[in-house]
Amino acid sequence: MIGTILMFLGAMVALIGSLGLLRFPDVYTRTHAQTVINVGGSCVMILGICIEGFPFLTVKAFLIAIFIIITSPLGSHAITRAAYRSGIMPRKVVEDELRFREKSKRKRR
Amino acid sequence: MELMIYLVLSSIGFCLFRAIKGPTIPDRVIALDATSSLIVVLILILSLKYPVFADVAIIYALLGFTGTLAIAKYLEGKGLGE
Repeated sequence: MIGTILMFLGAMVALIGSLGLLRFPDVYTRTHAQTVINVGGSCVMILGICIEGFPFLTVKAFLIAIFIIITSPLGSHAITRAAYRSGIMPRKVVEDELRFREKSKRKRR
Repeated sequence: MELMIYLVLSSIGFCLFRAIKGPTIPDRVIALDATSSLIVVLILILSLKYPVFADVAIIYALLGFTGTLAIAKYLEGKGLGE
């Protein structure tokens, strides 16, 4: 019963997160929606599967949940950093201080 | 369980729409990363009935993360070792 409730909650959060992935205007805001899908949707559903398939599936599903919690911030950080370095600006940006700082650091070398 | 499968499939559909339409390459990579974690959940739901599929889910989670990191390194313009 608790497992089914957790799985339904995770499916609803994943649906809301994918709607956000459709509607957000920008790479840096879409990363937020991707994190909602990964942690709030996927990990909660995997915990529900942990409780549902008790004797033979619990350890493997819990391992996958821990792995997703560890690697999701790593992947989204790397892809956002690559997007900034390859020159994609956020929408309606006013002033970019990081670009100025990286330029001055490059001059010092 | 069929209700869960349909909900996860509909959110996979939205993510794939963004992956097809997305204007830049990091958009597509983010959408494919979310899609891969949802596919892991789908395989685990199937493995409630057929318990052989759990190992497939573990391997799929590992490979999706590695692909995301490889594409990020490629976009940044450096080699894979740095």
